[in-house]
Amino acid sequence: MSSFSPEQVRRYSRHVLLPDVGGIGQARLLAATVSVDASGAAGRVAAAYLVAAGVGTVTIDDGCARRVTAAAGFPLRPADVGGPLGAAVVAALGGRNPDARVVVGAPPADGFRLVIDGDADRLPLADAFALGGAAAAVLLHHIAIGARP
Amino acid sequence: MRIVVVGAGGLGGPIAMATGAAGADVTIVDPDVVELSNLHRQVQFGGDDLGAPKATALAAKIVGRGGRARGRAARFEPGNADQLAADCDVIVDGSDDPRTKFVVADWARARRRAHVIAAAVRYGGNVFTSAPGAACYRCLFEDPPDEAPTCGEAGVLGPLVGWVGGIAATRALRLGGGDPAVAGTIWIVDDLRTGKAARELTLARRHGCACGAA
Ligand SMILES: [Zn+2]
Repeated sequence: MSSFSPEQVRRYSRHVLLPDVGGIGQARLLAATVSVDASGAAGRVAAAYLVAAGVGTVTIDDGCARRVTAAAGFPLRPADVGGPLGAAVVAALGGRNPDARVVVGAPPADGFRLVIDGDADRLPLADAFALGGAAAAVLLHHIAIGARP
Repeated sequence: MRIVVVGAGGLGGPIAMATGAAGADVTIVDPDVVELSNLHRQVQFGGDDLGAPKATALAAKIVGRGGRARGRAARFEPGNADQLAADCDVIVDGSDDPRTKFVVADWARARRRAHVIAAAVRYGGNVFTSAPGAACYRCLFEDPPDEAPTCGEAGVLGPLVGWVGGIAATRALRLGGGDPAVAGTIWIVDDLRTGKAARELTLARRHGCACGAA
């Protein structure tokens, strides 16, 4: 497993402390690729958590180049409304974490895929955090313990 | 609806952003600044926010999305509680400090305010919801624990705080909307690794609790 820079040690310290994650689990997250269905509000919140947690590559599946609607909340901003959804999510989340690459694209053949039941573009943000946070948490634990896609 | 959110971190971020997006007027109270070890779970902040006071930085993000919010860089304590929260309809605790949770809950009970107390550590969390007449925080937990693990000591899986914070925000919005059914409940995810669904319990008032004497 790779060794961590001093900055990574600080950034991921609350993960490395966890039973089931530790340094090995965090290294698995850093090496992982996850494709997220970002057509719904919960998927976009989940993508923000995956990037923050240090998933190495987060692929934004924007549902055939949809546009950002006026209902879109975090991590999108009012200025994003009307623009292409995938690019807006990449702009909002890319650069958040130097360890996470955020790109627009269809799901790759390998890697993990996150599609959230009950998600919708107009989901209230409170529900988007609850649904997206839950889905991202379960997936991160799955990756950290070395489970297969 | 005026909401006070105590804590601008992993739980306070989702709570404040979600209630702000729903149209609430949000006051955020937190004494800390953004640190690198926050960023794995506090998705409201990025590298540009390192060193900034959390309360005002979070408020600025809500305002930037068209919401109404202000930050107070302070610890919520018995001595300043009235000043910080006097005009709120609902107060929500998302702090990482068990003592602060009791300060918020005790103040809310004494001032007869609807309140939500949220907690998350490692792989589990809970959201306690109350209003005047319902079971209070001390009906359930009695006294602050001598030693309770915090995220800084025990770790926390990043997105868990989004899940728990999102649930806390839905409860705060229901209380603020005048829905009494949600008061006197606790929502619990024991350990997300088990795959078991979260559960919600209805709480009875505890005989002998100080809230019964009021
Ligand atoms: Zn009581």
